[in-house]
Amino acid sequence: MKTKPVNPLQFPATGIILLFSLLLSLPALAQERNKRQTESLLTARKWTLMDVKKKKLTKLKKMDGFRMEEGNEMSFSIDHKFRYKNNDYEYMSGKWVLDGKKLLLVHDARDATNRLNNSHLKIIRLTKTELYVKRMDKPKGKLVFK
Amino acid sequence: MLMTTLKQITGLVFMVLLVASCATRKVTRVDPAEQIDLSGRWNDVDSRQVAEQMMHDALSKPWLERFTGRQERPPVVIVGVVINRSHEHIEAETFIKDIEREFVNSGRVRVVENDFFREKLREERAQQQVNASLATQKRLARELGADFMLLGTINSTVDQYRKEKVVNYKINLELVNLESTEKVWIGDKEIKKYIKN
Repeated sequence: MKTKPVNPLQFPATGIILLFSLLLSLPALAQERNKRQTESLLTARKWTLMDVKKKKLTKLKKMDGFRMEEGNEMSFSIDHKFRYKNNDYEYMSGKWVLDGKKLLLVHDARDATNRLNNSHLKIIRLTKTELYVKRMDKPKGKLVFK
Repeated sequence: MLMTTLKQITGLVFMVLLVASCATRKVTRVDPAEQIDLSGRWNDVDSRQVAEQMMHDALSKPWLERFTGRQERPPVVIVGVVINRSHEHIEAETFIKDIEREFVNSGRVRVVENDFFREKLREERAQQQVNASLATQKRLARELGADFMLLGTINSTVDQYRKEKVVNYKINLELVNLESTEKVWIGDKEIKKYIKN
């Protein structure tokens, strides 16, 4: 006796489960695609700081010896390492981690201790030619990289 | 008849050669920072990435603060050997020069000449002792002794199957205290390439 192949979509429960799992995976896929897009834009070029929206960020005392000024250079590489050089020839390097719009920079402390520090940035706008971020640590302020 | 055919063939070959020699070649000036990968081999982009990663890493690590704090002067560094153990010819000098330049420009590390150029300088100084006037002679035994030596290796691994290839370059640089042989900084950079023909 021949048995007829069963179409799973004929059973409403199976169909509903498949539909739900498809719907649930869609945001995750979109998020993954967005993340990859942001990462490729970040790593595509070397960014030069063009505008510092808050004066405090350019002050040596307020910034604990590492000030941010126009002309500073920052770059992110595909192996999730970043580099930052300011106009005083002070260097910062370490790892970068992206979580949605949040950009975490993990780097060495700026003294002789063996300690890692974090800098938190929030990406406001990212295009091929512009990286507009907000520094979330105190002093807070917006930075425009081109 | 035969002569005419021969002349025609010669003329045709000449024309073909002329056209072939005039084949258009397009040359365009591009931004040196632009990333152009043709063969997948080691290129200027890789060299620049290594230089930037290494110099930022070297100048941001605590060894520098510790030395400056203890000695109250910037450290003196000499560039030693960078051994190429990869499957390709890689000129380490391209990124070593970038690192040296950044050390010097930062004013936080002093760099002395390597053994090859040091010999040239010594020859010139020896010549001065005989040929230069007393007022302009440069004195002997006044060189700056290095505190650290920069040494390194370049390694690569290749994994290939049919038309696909994965190449992984690993560059290690280390800064060693000349007196105590203590390693004070080790920097590494990995570049992984997937090549599909």
